[in-house]
Amino acid sequence: MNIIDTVFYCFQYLLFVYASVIIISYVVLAVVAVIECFEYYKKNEVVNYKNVLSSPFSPSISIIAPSYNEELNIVENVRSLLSNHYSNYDVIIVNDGSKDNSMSKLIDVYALKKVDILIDTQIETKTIRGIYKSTNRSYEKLIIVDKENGGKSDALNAGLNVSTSQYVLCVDVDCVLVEDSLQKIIKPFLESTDRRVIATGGVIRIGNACQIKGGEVMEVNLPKKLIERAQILEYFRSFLLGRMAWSRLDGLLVISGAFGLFDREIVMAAGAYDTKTVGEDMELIVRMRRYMREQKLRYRVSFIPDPLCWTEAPDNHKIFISQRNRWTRGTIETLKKHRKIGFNPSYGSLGLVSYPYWLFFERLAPLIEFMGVIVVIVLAFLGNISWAYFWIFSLLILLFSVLLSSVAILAEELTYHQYKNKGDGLHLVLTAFLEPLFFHPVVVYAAIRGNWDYYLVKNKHWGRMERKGLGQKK
Amino acid sequence: MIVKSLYELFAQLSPLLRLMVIITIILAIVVAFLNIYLRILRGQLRQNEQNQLKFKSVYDELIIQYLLGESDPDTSNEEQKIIFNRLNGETTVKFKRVILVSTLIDLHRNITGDLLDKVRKLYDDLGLSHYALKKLKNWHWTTIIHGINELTEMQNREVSGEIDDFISHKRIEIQAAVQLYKANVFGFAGLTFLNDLKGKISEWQQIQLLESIRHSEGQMVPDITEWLHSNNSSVVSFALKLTEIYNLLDVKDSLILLLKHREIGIRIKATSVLAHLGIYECKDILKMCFDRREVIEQVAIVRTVTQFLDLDDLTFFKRLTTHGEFIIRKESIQALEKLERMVVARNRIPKKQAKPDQILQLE
Repeated sequence: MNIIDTVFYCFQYLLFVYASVIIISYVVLAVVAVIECFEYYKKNEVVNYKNVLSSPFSPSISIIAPSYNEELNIVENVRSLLSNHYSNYDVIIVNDGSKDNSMSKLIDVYALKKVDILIDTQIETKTIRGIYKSTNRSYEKLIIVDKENGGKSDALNAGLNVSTSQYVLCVDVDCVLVEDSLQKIIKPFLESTDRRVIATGGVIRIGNACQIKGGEVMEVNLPKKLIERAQILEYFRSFLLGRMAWSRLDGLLVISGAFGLFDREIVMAAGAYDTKTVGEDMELIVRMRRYMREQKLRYRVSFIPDPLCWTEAPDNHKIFISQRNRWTRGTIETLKKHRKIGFNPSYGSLGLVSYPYWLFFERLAPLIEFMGVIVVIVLAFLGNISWAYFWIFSLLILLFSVLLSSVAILAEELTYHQYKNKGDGLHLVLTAFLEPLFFHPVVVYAAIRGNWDYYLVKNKHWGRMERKGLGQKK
Repeated sequence: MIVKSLYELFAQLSPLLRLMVIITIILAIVVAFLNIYLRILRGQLRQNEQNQLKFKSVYDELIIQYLLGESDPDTSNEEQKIIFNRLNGETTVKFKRVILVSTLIDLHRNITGDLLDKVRKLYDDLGLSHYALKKLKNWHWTTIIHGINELTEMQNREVSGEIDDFISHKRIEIQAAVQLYKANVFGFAGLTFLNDLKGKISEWQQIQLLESIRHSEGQMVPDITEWLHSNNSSVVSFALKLTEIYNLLDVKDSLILLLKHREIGIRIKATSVLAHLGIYECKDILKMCFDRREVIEQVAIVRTVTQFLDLDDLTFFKRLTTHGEFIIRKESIQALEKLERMVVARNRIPKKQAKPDQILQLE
């Protein structure tokens, strides 16, 4: 056996070991997540959320939504955010230097007037041009912050400075929130007696083909395109299996930027959003956890499986790749910035479990997968490939992926059962079979592009995310 | 023949490949099983939803007919018997019983007056409380909670003995359900569990308890001094909330004592309750201990002192305009502005008329 053969032989076994470990970890996570999901569902089935709605002791919440060139849907989006069923909350829309007519539309429709408010600028942001409140009492919960453009993180920081609430819900302005979302997402914060809950995430669903009226999802439909359906499955796996399990294991490192509730005091103490990263949502959670650990404070990052927010997913490959490219760069930046915690026993499970998991199975997985493809091509070219190994290995991975998706679909059906239409189940199962073949390669490609851009192009931009608006299509 | 040749092929493979083949076959079987189950499950869920809607509307109609019919005893006795027998027959099937109970609970939540008692009576007459009690003997904790919640909704006092057995259950969720039962059914009298509560009551549970009590009408608030002096800080926190809601001025001394409580959260809450009740005596105590307190507590103190603002506070607030915390600086500046207005107002009034109450009126 020559040296090249030995290298390839070793790589083949390494790949098998890597795949085995990743499969075992996914199985463990899936089991933990399913138990956690059912327990949560059963426990909360009988909870009377209405009490928190009418209580004078409900904590204050600010919904902070940055907006940039959202002229088309801004009025409706704001109306949707204002219609939440919770008493003690306000909505802070941060107009991040939009170049369109967003601001004038908001002023006209909501009868806004510039007001003088003393702001505690604990976090440096771009200049705030003005703060507006409505002269109409129906919109007294609305605050509009008009500022110079500084990006999403900078806009969120401006919102954090303006907010005086105990908790802040950071959302994408175009998301459709379920009307009782605040009642549900505040619960983990109020329920904990032994540890301080510093952040909570909820399940985000894809609303591309859903019927939306007056800021409310009226009918849940499955989109037609494979790329959209595949993302629905991916979200099922990621939220219902991945994040639920990590929440139970107290190792959650990310809460989606589209919907997350934070303890404002801890966010400020940890330094708020980092404006120099494109993965600000993950970076903030890691920093908050690190802060709590370094201060030796008992804490928890929580996650609930209720579908509380509907968002629009990319419906074409170009935008999808751009989004995933950004997510990859965000992960690289966060792991690099907080490398001190990796494998560091003084950070407990954060340093010894969560960080290594993210490094090996989230950060490196696409690279290893890509190397695997290159090795297969080289071996095939050299005529040195074990086709039996190749086919069996591929089939095994395909079936495992389908199994994981099926468990995620099952968890969804047994709990929230959102896709009720006849045929949706079959389409989801079909997507589970097609996704690893036609969608996953695109995900890997986007991740490789993200690595390329990060290390070689030094592209620090957000990337383009065109939105059509939920309920606007068809 | 095919099986044999496949087995021969399998036997020729390396151990690693053989292992992979075995795992692949197992995965294929599990995937097939799961997907068949998924198909059946979706069908069942759809069917259940349709049936639920159908039965719920039928039960709704029957129950309303039954309840309204009772007011006219001459004509409705026979008809009522028929309806009752029909509903009674439905209780033997679990699926239908669940829908019937949820229909009764929904109705119970949305009606008032005499009809409430009639719904409760119908619930008992149908033997549904017996089924709820059976749930308390179930091994699964969520079923026990369902049972307790059902009896709570129906305000069933007779089962209180059975439910009390769960007050120290190892699962806090069950303990919480029992606490809510007692608060809902017995109002303030049901809160005696607070006297010797070992575990903590979460903020969420406190809100639920307070809302349950608020719905119990015409009750006298008991003496809560013992709770304000409890070693359990969550009980103290709950008692402070009661003090605020029911404006319990007679616990003033206990509130002032709480300003020295070991927990900062309690001290802050006590400070704000004192402000809410307008207890002026606390002002000097708060001003004296200001420098020894953490920033978050100092904010609460400044806000409370602002509530009782008078010209004696001028030095206190002047000193705070250079404080490191923004909110304290902001509150102090606002307080100084108010004080300035007070001074201007006092100067406008001729000296012989400048009495404190007049200044307050102007302010």
